[in-house]
Amino acid sequence: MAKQYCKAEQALTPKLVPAVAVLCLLSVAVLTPAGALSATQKQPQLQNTELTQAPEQPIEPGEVPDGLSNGDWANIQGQIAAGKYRAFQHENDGYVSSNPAQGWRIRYAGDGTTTLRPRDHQAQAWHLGLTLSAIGFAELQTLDQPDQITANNITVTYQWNDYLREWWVNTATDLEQWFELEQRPPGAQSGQPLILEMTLATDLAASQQGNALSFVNDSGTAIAYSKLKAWDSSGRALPARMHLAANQLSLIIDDSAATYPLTIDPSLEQQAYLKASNTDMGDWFGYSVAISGDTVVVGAGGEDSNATGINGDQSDNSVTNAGAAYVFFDLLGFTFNAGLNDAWVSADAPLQGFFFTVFPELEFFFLAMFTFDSVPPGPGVPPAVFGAVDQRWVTGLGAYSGNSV
Amino acid sequence: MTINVELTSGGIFNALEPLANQQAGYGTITIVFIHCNEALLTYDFPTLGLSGQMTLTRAVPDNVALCEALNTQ
Repeated sequence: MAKQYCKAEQALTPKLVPAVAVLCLLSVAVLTPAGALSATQKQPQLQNTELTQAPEQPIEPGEVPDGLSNGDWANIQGQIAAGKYRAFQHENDGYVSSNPAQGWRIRYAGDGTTTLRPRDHQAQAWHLGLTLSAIGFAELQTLDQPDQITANNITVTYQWNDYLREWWVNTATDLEQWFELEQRPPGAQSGQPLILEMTLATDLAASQQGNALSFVNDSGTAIAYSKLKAWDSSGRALPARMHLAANQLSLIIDDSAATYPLTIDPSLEQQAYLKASNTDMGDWFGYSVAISGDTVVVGAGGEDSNATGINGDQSDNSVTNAGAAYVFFDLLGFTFNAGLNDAWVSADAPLQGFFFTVFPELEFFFLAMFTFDSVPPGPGVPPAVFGAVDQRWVTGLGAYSGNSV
Repeated sequence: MTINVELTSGGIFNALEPLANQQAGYGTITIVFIHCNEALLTYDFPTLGLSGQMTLTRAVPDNVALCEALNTQ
């Protein structure tokens, strides 16, 4: 994500925002990994007696200490990094872990509830809790609490009963939730999908967009619950969708053709965290927001600096309530590339979808839609037949920019 | 950014005649890629009276790793 501080000479108006957005596409602040590892940090990982004398200078990024191979050093660094995400036993019950990259602390309670909160204690408080509460088909079987909760490094597991296991894997990328069902739950009925029902406990605003949920608040917290996938023991992908109703979240799986065991895998990840580059009380950061693609302009009507133009002296607070605009662009950090070439489908319309082709050198994008029909076959609407007259083949071609086309 | 789509119909598989008919101005599609395995597609096909939005994922995830590798370059 890149961000840019822009200062207007006058108070922000809606007309100013597009101009500021254009003017500020100049400098980029790249998020970098943690800085150099000190010698004392790496010393406990070393077992080679030749290296018991720690070097006096910190190890610079990209540098490999004498006596270690690149692979050994990468392994050591990986262990150090992963250690930040491991779970520790909670003083009452269950476990806790931290996720520095996402900015979360995570509580895995003995009753099976997994709760996220901000890691920064000075940040505005919020919470997002998920508890598996029932499983089944037309009639759901209520789950009380897990038989057992265990932890192994970055993974915490709830064993709900003899056939159902839920576990969470905490990494810098996301907090990934997994379910495994050793056998089909009792009560299966023909034509009825498998349902895993979870209870939500959150003070964030929840909404559903297709097969993804968003949890947001007005202070910039935005968390996505998405990437739902399900497959059976043969590796066959199963149609899966989610449904949110009040504080109940259901994962709905078509297991009619599945061979158990079954695996289900959604995940939680932060969508974006926006913060002013010169935070001060009373700046009203977020008083106004404009969004275009993956660019966001945030107004702070109470910001006090006397800077004008782009990236002036943000620390001189000599003009009370002068106001400022902050431009965040390339928020998704995603660009078109040839790895997108593939067939893409919607979970809500199985066996229909699009084939995408990216031409990176031309910065052009091509799509073709494959579909049976736009309306179900019936009287006056014959079923689609490959190669027959009047079957539809829709194509599109256009230049792309950023992550959209 | 939005791309225009065209509808092609009337052709016969593996035959020169009749010629396929290509209809420009069929509608528009906008796609925003969230990451290498998720995209949000918004469509508007006025001639069919169809418009809406759908979340797309890959039919098979084989190219996700390639996409993620290319995305970091």
